[in-house]
Formats: sequence, structure tokens, C-alpha cells
Amino acid sequence: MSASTLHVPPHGAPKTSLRIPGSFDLYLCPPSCARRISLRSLRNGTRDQAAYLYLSEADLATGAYEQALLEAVDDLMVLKDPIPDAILVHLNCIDDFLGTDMDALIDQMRAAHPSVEFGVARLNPIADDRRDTPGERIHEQLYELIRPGQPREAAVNIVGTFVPVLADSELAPCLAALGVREVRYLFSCADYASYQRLGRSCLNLVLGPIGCKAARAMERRLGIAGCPAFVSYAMGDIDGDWARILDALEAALPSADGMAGGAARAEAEAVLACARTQALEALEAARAAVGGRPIVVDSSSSMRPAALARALAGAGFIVSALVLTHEKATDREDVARLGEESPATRVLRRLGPEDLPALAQDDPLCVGFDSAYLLRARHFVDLRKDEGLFGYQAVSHLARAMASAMEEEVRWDEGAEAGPVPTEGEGR
Amino acid sequence: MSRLSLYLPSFAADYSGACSVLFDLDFLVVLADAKCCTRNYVNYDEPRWTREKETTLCAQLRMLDVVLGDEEKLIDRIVEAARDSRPRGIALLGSPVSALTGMDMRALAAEVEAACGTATLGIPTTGFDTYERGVQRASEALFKRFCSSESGSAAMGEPSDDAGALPADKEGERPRVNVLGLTPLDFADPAMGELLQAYLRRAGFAPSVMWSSGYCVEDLPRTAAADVNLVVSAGGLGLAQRMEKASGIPWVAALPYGNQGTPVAERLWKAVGSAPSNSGAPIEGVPLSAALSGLADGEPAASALTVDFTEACHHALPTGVGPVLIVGDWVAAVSQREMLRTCGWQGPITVASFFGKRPPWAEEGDRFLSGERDLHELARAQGIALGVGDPLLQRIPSLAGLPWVAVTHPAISSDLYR
Repeated sequence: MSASTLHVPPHGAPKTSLRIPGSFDLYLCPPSCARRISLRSLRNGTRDQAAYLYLSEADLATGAYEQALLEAVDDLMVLKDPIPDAILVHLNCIDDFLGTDMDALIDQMRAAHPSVEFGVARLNPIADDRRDTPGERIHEQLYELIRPGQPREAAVNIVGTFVPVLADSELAPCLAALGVREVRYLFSCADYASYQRLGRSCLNLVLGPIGCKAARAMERRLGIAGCPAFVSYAMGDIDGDWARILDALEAALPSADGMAGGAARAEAEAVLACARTQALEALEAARAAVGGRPIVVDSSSSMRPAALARALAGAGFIVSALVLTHEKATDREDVARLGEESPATRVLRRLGPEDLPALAQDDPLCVGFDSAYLLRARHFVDLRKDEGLFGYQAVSHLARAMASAMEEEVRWDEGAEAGPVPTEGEGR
Repeated sequence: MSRLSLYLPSFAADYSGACSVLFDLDFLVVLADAKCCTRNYVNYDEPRWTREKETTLCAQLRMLDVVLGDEEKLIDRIVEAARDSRPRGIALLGSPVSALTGMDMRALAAEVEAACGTATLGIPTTGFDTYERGVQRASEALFKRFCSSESGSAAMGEPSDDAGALPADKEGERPRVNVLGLTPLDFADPAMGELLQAYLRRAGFAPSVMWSSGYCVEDLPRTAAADVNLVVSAGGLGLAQRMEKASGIPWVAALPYGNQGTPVAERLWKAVGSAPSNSGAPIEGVPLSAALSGLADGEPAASALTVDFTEACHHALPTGVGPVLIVGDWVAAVSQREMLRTCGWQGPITVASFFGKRPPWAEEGDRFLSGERDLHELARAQGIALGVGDPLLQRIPSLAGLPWVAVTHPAISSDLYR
């Protein structure tokens, strides 16, 4: 626990919650535990896809909630038209203490409603002392209703991200050159049938650590090979990632659709070479624009902010600070290596008012909204959790954004809606 | 299945209500939760963070610590955080996990206080109750500690630079009025405190302590010296009743909205046993704005244009005749009913609330709602012609499509309509 921290208002697109397409979410929890999720679903227009069964204190003592849960499922079958293809029962921290026999309850639900599939998801930060995180567990649970034993197709699932990779990434053209006919995302599935088709893909490409557990489970249960290739801003890492992806695909693509020999690989490598050159050119331009100005990187910029800070330091930039207010276990190795490779970089795990003057010294370029907001930075790169980025394109995007941030100065609104003020003619 | 919720969000919880009461006091507030409860309050139930430091901290309870009952670790961390931030006081609040596992918040608070010497409150919130219970619990805990003869002896921290924000009472013999229950979970308008103070002065009173918004630790002892308490939300009632019992201070539960300026002042004067000081001239009330609301693409949408509340009601139902259902906090909703009656509204007006038992000022037919199903059935049974309340309530099937006057209730819709 730290002492007081500074408040940073929400920034960017509203936060979304991943869900199984065509399914219905039933939360069993104390009322307070549902406040954030239910308001978010109203904001995102998905409230009608979920119900909340509120536990009372008496329920905990009597166990009456188990019967209430079965009745709630029966009620939903009457109230929902059409009947959902699947119902995912969400449990939270409280259930870690109650030890509900969910297997038995799910069996009863299946027996009562055989046309519906049932699953269980757990959002329980109380169990953060386990090796995996709630996010990883939820990711895994979202893929658990995919049926095993489906035929393979020349398709790749992208796992561990919340938004699709932008079209200007080399990802799609490179995979197409290799014979991949479709790139699939959980959140892009239009319905439950297309969700099930995720089980036909031949490879899971894992873009963020949050998807690793899900990919491992799918490899075990569905036989889909997994290939971790986290979004990175270090050219060397990206070279290695692409080499592994090509090898993995060579092995995984169904024989009928397999890479058309060396020609396909050569075509893919040409796509990669072009993207690589663009990234190097963008980096060079960014170095010229930023010069010796210090850079502050924060947790809001990337799923792996410490790796991002290392990449920038390794590319010749002066990284003065890494603000790691949302540190994850997966950051630890990169933090340690950052300490070796860039010993002058300060790592701050909380940010209090007393830290601001030193951080603001020398008018840094901030990468990430959180630090930019708190420092009222004149120059900042609005990179948000690597969204839409992958491969060499990630480097190009970041480098171009850094160069462009040096050309424009941010004005900050000091009012209640604090945030960068748009320049004339620009929408917010 | 009254606890199955299909249409509305979960409401602000008791711990959010308690945090809301403590916000202005420069306390270190520690929520004994794993993570989500703190984020609920910080992200959805407290609009006052802007450009402020967050002093509501998450205890980050973990399974092993809870199972083993390792409270020493938590105490050490609180003491360390208090050493860092040097707060005026510390408050420990409970969550569903601490309620389930039987953590004794008051005993824990005593240990923290013994370890660091700073006045520490243990407030047994649970996350199973709604916000007004937390407002009540925190208010009573503060009163017991800082305003009454039962107060303990632990030191308060050093005052901050802006301590004593409210000027000392310069209004001499005017009766002093505390305002109880003034939280941003009830009032979306951040100017509400100032509006109420101005109203009280117009009515011949001296505003004393504005509980929950715009007060500081130094103000608290003045609470017990007031002549009357004005309860502006159900959360303030518990403290008013406690003070009435302990010190004989009377209370009035009402909001002096619009045309209620004079009647509320008369009730306050009657409570203090004096004659009004303004020789019978009408007293302008506090403005209450409302918006006309309807459904757009199936979802509630309040118009951007806000108008006077009674005007909005007449606009929504021009005949001014027909059964009205007002859903909200007990004090606000009953005050709105009085506004409509004063301006001649014809027809029955029912008040219902999700927040707290039926209070003494409820009328026959007014209802406590235990869930959204209660509201659905009440509206269906009564053939409502006009609905008043938070825009989100129109998601309830029997209220959808009714003429609706939107009065935002942040404890329901957070900042969705702010």
C-alpha cells in the first residue's frame, strides 16, 4: 500500500469488457461488486446482455444463493428472447471463501436447459497472490466454451488484445502471403457460431501476456498451437518474433493450405523487410526530433511499459523515468534489465505530489497519458496500451508520434474535464 | 427473484457513502478489499478528484493473508502510509470480503491508532448495503469521535493550509443550522452546498457545519452547538436522530427547493421555537433543475436543456393531472412532491426509494423498493402518468415510454448523465 497517489481521469475510448459473442452473462455477487461492471455495460450499450443476481449477507450464511442461482437461470430462459446460446456465470472474490460447487450447479443447469451451454468465469483479485492474474484467468475462461474436435482451417486467432491490429501493420499482408485466409479475434465474432469457429484456427498468435494462459489452455484442449509474440518496440525482438511466427505457421498450417514452398516465405519476408525499413527510417527521424530531451514512460502507454522503456533506451533515447503505477509480474524481468542497461532511469512505482518537480525537470517528452496529465507535459505521445499495433508497424507508429509530438505543444484544460485541449479544427 | 437485476446498474454501496462523508476531511481512508471496491468508489462514486490527490487506498487483501488472519501486515502498511501522508485521521472501511471473513474494523482501527497515534475510525461497511447506510455510519462515527463528550483522546494530525474553510459564525444571534447528508452521491450539482448556505441566510439562519461537502475537521466540534439540523438526504437522518437524543437538537428533513423556500424555513423556525426574522416575506428556495427525458434507440436520454423542475413536470404532462411516481432519495423525492402539490398538481403522487427504510415523513402508499422488480410492479399497478427520477429508471419495462422528468441521482447513474 502506498500513501496518497494522484488522480488521473479516464482518457481515451471507454474501457470495454471482453465477452463471448452470443452469450449472456449472469453475475452472482454482492451488489457493490457489480457497480463498475454494470455502469460500464450501460456506457458501452451492452447492459441487456447481462443480469446480476445480488447475494445478501443471509445468503452467505444459509447457502440459499445456490437455489436462487438455478431459479435465476430458469427466469432468464423465460425473459430472454431469443434464448442465449450460452450463459456464463461470473463469480467474484466472495466465492473463493464460499467454495460453491459450481460443477454440480452447472450440471443441473445443463440438465434443465440442454440447448444452452454453460460456463463459469471468475473475477477474483483476492487471488492475485496466485501465479496468474484475474485478467489472464478471464481470458482463459472466455475461450473455454469453444468445442474441441473441429476441423483445421488456414486461419490465425489473435489472442491477448482488446482491439484489432490496424490495417497498416505488416501482420495481415505477411500472414496472407504465407497462405493464412482469415485472421480472427474473439471480440470481432458476430455471433456464437463464429465464436465456435475460433476452434478451427491453426495457430494462436499471442500479442500480450494476458493471453498466454488462454493460449496454453487452447493448445491442451483444442490442439491449437500457440505462438507468443508480444507487441514490442525493440527491433531485435521483433526480428525474432517474426522468425518464430513464420516457423510456427509452417508447422501449423493444414497441409492442403500450407505455405506454397519457398516462394510464399520469400514474399512474406519481402513484406517484412519493407516494414522494417520504414520502422528504421521513422526511428531515425524521431531521434533527430527528440534530440537529448528526456523521456518519461508510464504504465498507460503499453501492456509492457518496462519493455517499452528498455526499447527506447536501447534505441538511443534518454529515458529519465519509468512510472510503473500498475506493475505486473510480467514487468519484473524488463525492470531488472532496464536497471542494468539504463541505470540512470528512475523507476517510480507510485506517483505522489512530491515526485512531480523532479520528473518535470528538463521538460520531458511523456509517452503515455498518465504522466503527461500529471506533469502537464508540453509534449506527449498518446500511446494507449499498444492498441492497434504489432510488429515493425508498432515502432513506426511510436517513432512518428514522438517526432510529431515535438512539433506540437499540448495545451491543458484546467477545468473539471481536465485534458489536452484540441487544436483548432480538431475534434475531441 | 427480487434480487435479479436486468435493467439498472448496481447502486453506490455503503463504503462509497462512507468515503463520500470523509472526502473533505483529509483522512487516510483504507478500504479493506482486494481491489474492485476501491476502484468502484474512485472511478464511479466520487466526482471531486479532479486535480486532487487520491487518499482512498486499497488494502489489497489477498487470499492467504485473509485465511491466515494476518492483520499485522495490514496494520503495518496502514501505519507506513499514514507516516507518509500525515493525514488528519484514518478511517478503515469494510468490504464484502472483510464482512464475510469477520474482520473487526473497529478493533483493527484501535490497533492502528495505538501504533501510530493518529485518531482512527473503524467503520463496518459491508458492500451489501446501499450508500445512505455508509453515509450514516461514517457520520455517526465522526460525531462520536470528534463532536461529543464521548470523544477519545488520540491526536488529530496537523491541519492543512486550508483548514477551517468555513468562516467562524459572524451572524450573532441567528439560529445555527447544520446541514446533514450533503453528498455528491445525492446531489449532482456541485454548487448545492453554496446554494443551501445562501438559502439559510436568506431565511434568517446561520449556516453551521455542512456535513459531507465543504467542511473540515476543525468544523466538527461546532456540530453539537447547532440549534437545528436540516437533513437533506436519508443518509443524514441517523446522525440527526442521534443528536436529537443526545443533545435535544431538533431536525427537519426537507430540501427547500423552488417554491418550498418559505415552508421549509417555517418548519426550521418552528423547530427552534422562534418566530421568523423576515416578517413573512416569501423566501426564495434553492433552484432545482430537471430535464425532459425519453428513450433514444431504447436507451434513456435526457435532453441537454434543463429547466425548472415544476416547469419540466408541466411540460412533460401539460394537463397537470394524473398519478405521478417520484423515485429517489426519501428527502429529495418527498420535497419534489411538495413542490408539485404547492403548484397545484392534481392527482396522487407516490414516492418510492431504493435507499433506506420508509422514514417518519413518508406517506401511506409510499414504498421502499427492494429491487427493480418492486419498481416494475409498483408502476404497473398504479397506472402512472408521469415518472420523475434518474433517467436510467426508464429502462424498467413498466416505466419505459412514460412521460419522464429526469432528476439525476448519481448514486444510481454515476456520471452517465452528469
